[in-house]
Amino acid sequence: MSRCLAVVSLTLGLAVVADPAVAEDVYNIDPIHSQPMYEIQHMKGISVQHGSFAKLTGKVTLDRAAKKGTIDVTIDASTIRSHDARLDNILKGEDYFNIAKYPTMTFKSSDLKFDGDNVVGAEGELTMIGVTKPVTLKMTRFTCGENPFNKKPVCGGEATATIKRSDWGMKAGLPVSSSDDVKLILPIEAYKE
Amino acid sequence: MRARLFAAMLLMAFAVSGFAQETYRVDPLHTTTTFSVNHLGLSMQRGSFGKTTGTVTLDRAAKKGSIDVAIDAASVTSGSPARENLLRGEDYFDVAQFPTINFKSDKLKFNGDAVVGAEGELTMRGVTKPVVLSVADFKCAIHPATKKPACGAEVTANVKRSEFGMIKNQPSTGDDVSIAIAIEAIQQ
Repeated sequence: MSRCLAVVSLTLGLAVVADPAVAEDVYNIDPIHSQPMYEIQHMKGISVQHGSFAKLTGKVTLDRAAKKGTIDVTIDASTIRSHDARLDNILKGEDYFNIAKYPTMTFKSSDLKFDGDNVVGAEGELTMIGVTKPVTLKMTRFTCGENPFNKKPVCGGEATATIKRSDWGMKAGLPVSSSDDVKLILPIEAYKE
Repeated sequence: MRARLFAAMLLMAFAVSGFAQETYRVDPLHTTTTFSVNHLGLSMQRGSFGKTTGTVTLDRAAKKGSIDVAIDAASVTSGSPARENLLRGEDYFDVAQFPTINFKSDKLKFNGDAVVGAEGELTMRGVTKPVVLSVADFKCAIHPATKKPACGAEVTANVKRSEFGMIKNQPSTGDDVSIAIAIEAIQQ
C-alpha cells in the first residue's frame, strides 16, 4: 500500500516536473457561464429568433509559449430551448436535432489562433446530427484573471461562428420558416485545473 | 338592430380612414426579450424572458405610433435553475412583488416608413425610468401562415440596473445591461 502510494507520488511528482517543459495549461469549462446560443432569421428575415443550449462541458488547453492550444467541447442536444415547449419538441425531433439518435454535438479544434497572448480564433470541426464539417470560430474579448470569490485562475471570452445548417443536412423549414444561416454565440469561462 | 349595425360599420369606416392607425399585437411565440451582462470582466452572460406580450400601433402617414409591452418577470431563464431562482428573488427581479416589467412609449421615431427608435419608460421592480430604444431591421410583410400583415424588428436598449435598485453582486456582475427584443407583431 505504501509502495503503491510512493509510485503515485512519484508519478505526480514527474507530472509536476514535466509540466513546465510542456507549458500547457488545462482549463475546465464552467458550464453555468458557458451556454451556447444561436440566432436564426424567421420568415425571410422579419425577425431574428434566439435559442440556447443549457449544458455544455469540455476542456480548453493553452500553451501560451508555443501559441498553441485545443478546444474539446460537448453540447447536450436535449437541453435546447426556444421558450416555446411545442417548438422545443419540434427542434428535438428528427427533422432538426434528432436527439434520440444524436444526443450530443461536439466541437473540437487543435488549431487555436493567437494574437500575442490572446486567443482570437480557432479552426475546428463541428459534429451535429452525425455530420462533421469544418467551422472557423472567431474569439473576442479573450481575458484571463482570477475569480474574486474562489481565487482560481480563469479565462473567458466570446466565440462566434456563422454556419449553414443545410451543410449538416438540417433542411426542415427552409427557406421561409427559418433561414439556412445560423449564428452561433458561445460565451465561455474556463477554470485552470 | 339594423341601424345599430350600420352605425357600427360607419364608426369602423371612420376609424380606418380618419386615423389611419394600424394596431399590431405582439406574437409571444416569436418575441423574445434577451439581456446580456458582463461577468467578472470575462464573458457576456445572457438570459431571457420567454413571455412578452403587448400592442404596437403605427400611423404611417402621421409618422406616429406607440408601444406598450409587458414582460412576465417570472419567465426569466438563464440555463441554470439555481441562478434563475436567484434572479426571481428579491435581490433581482423580485417577481413576487413585481410580476411584470413594462415598457411604454408614444414617441416612435421614423425614418421614412420604417420605425428606427422609441423614447419611453421602463418600469422594473416598481421603478420607472426613461429609456431610449433603438429599432433595427424594421420590416413588414404578409405572414405566410396567417396571411395577415406582420412586422418584425430587433429592438435594443442599454440600462444601468442600479438605477432600478438592482445592485446585487456589483461589480462582479456588471451594472450595464444590454436588452434586445426580437419582436414580431401581427396586425389586428
